[in-house]
Amino acid sequence: MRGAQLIAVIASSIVIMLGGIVLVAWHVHAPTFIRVLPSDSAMTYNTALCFIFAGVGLNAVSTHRSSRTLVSGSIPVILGLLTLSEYLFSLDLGIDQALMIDVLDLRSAFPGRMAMATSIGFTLSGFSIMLMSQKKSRTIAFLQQIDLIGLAGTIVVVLGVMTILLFLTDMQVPYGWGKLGRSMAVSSAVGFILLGTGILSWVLTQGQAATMSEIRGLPFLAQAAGITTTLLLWQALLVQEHRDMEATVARTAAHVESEIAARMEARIQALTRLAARVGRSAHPVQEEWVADAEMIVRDFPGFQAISWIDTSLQVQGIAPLAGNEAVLAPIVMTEPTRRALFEKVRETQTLTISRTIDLVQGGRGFVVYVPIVRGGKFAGVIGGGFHAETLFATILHGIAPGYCLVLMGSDEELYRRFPDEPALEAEWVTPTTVEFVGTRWQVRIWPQAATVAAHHSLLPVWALGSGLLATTLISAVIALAQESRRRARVAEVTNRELARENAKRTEAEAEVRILNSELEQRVRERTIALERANADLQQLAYVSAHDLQEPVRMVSTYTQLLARRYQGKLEAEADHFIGYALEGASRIHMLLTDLLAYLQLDQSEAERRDTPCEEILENALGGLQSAITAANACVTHDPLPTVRGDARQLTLVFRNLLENALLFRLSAPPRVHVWAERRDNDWVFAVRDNGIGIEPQYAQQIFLMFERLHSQAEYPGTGMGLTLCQKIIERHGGKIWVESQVGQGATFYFTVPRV
Amino acid sequence: MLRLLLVEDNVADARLAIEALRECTVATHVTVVSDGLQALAYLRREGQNAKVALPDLVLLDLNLPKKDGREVLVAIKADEALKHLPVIIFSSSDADQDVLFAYRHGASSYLIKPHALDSYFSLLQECITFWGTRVRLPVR
Repeated sequence: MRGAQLIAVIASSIVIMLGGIVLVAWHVHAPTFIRVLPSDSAMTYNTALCFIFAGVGLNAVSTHRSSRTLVSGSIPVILGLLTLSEYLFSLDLGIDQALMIDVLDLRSAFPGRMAMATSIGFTLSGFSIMLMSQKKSRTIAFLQQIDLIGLAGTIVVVLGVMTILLFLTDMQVPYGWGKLGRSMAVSSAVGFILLGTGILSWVLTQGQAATMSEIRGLPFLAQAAGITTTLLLWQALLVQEHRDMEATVARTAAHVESEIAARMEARIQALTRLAARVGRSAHPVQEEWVADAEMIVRDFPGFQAISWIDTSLQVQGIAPLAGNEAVLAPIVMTEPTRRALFEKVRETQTLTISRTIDLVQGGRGFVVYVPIVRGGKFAGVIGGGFHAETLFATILHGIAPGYCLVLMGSDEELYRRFPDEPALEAEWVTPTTVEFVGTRWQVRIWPQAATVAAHHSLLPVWALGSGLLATTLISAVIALAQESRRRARVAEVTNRELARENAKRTEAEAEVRILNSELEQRVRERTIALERANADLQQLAYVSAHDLQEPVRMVSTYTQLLARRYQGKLEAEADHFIGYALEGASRIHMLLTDLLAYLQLDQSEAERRDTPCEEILENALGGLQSAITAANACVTHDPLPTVRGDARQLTLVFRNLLENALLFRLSAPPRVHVWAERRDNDWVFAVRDNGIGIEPQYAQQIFLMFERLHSQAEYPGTGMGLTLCQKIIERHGGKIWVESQVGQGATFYFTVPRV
Repeated sequence: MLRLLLVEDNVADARLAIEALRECTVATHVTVVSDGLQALAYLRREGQNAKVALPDLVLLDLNLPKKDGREVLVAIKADEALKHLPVIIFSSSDADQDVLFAYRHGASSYLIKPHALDSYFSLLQECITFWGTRVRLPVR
């Protein structure tokens, strides 16, 4: 996947550039490059630094220079984790401004500190990069290393994307994250998107995924993306809800403001009309005035009293009278506030409202003086006294239920409703101004807990729940689809392989059959060839041995002729020389005779005839008569059976064994005994002598071709006799062996199968 | 005087035979031919042998060049003029089939050439003595 590798390299390079530009901008104090848009946050120095390291690390991994990766990946991890712990445990580790003093972001409670989301992003990115440098992949729980990297990369990308989306839709940073002030800068978000993309591209290069179905960990990535998105959306919905509440509070505040203004206007209008009436009449009648005033008091609840004060600060009338007798006392108007107010009204001939004063009737309130103008001249004041508590309770009755209120005059609190929920005040308080008749009051309004709770909807929670559920379902579906595809692929591959194997097997079997038949043919041919070669060799050996006899005979006879004719006539040594030559010739003759006898066995088929062994023994003895007599030997035998075999060959066996018995003798006359006994399916023949015996260790050796245990001078012979016997007996299907001890004679046994 | 035809291809063997016969008490006149064809030519008095007298005895070796001894035997015994001649096979072969063949086709006796010199001499001498003094031969 070369393309993926290229993407990783490009992404990492852009990230390095991004960090580099911002870093330089910090050093040369060029704010434009640090905070691109005014509503955005600034990318902190630490963030820029981490981007550079992360980019370098990713670049190194993508170009397979992993030596730098471990170091460059660790810096972001360290800074990210430290910043995160500062947020979570309310620490100040002094790293925020260690490298650069933050003069740009004055809103933040912690200048220079990267946003919480940024620190999370760097922790994940740096961790991934460090893992990417590990050559051997480990498995933690059931996740492989590469799955973890893919997961981290996905979360980083989603962080970046969601930050940009939230920025574009103008949602503030979700409260849970950034209540301490800073949100992730857009440039950082872009950087994280690039970083995450680079990490994911690297992950793709590592796998050998041919199709989407084979990408490892796809369900996990989908789940990570889904969860991150759901969380961010949930937070956004909460923020939205908050904003809604704020708007509602503002509306309520405006409503309250207009209500107060309107009501106050009404009352003051009433006072003004009353003043105007008094001013119109040259001689106002007190009773009329009192009746009017009482009507006003009745119609406009909230008046403590309405008083008519003439130019000499005398209270001409007061309504209602009951409860307000104290106002009639002249000392009232000597009260400095009232006096000042009066003089001000006299001077300006405009109505004026006092600040909060103590009412003579008790309680706090304020008065409104409306000037009476008669004939263009100041003629007194109509005063309206308001008991703040009563007034506002009346005015604000039924207005903004569920809200707490504080009404402030120019310097002092006038009124407060439900004062006991300060916590919500801090979060929700909306100040507004009530203006009327040139007077300004401050209203502070905030909702009660119940109101907030009523406004609160379950939508965010539903969104969270359904988002998580949907994510899980989608991931599960992806996982299942991948699994089924994988299974199908595996099954397909297996099937194909199986079919191939079968075809191969059939082919192989066919081949084997052909080879087998070829082999059999070749074996047959080879056997025939071998048999033919063997026969040829045997023939050759036989013919050679046979043809050698004649020249040997010539050498022998003529040497003897020489000896006979020139004996004594040459030097003494010549006789010796002739003697040795004769000896040599004689030995050759003996060897050839024995060899021929041996070879002849293969030249012709052995006969299978009932052969009486007693006769054979007699024949053999007949040929050895002279030797027997010369050795003074005694040969005895038990009755011998009839066996099936070749008479001539068996005769040779007996003859050889008897010859040996006579030849290998001690000084005592040889005594030889021959017998036979039945054993299982065989006849076991035995020839026992009292000769020199054989060492047991040579018992096998003596049957070998040309093997002798003695020199020619000790005992003459060719070493072929026993070999010949063995071949004959084996051709008859029997075995031949010897049992003997040195100096104690020897017994030769041979078996011949019965029938 | 016994007239002998010795059919022997080996010069050494022929010489040996002559040596042996020299020491024999019976006087002999030996003619040596070295192959089968010559033998038959001699016996049939062909060519330069026209004036030759028939021998009394034929000593025949078996393994001869040109015409094999066996064939010569058969030829002699098939020839009306020659079949009365006693043919003694004098061969180094001891093969049973050769012996049987010889007797089957009319050989008078089969002698196997001994290896030992003494045996060789005594065998030949005994044979000639037998045929020369003991046995009545047909008149030439």
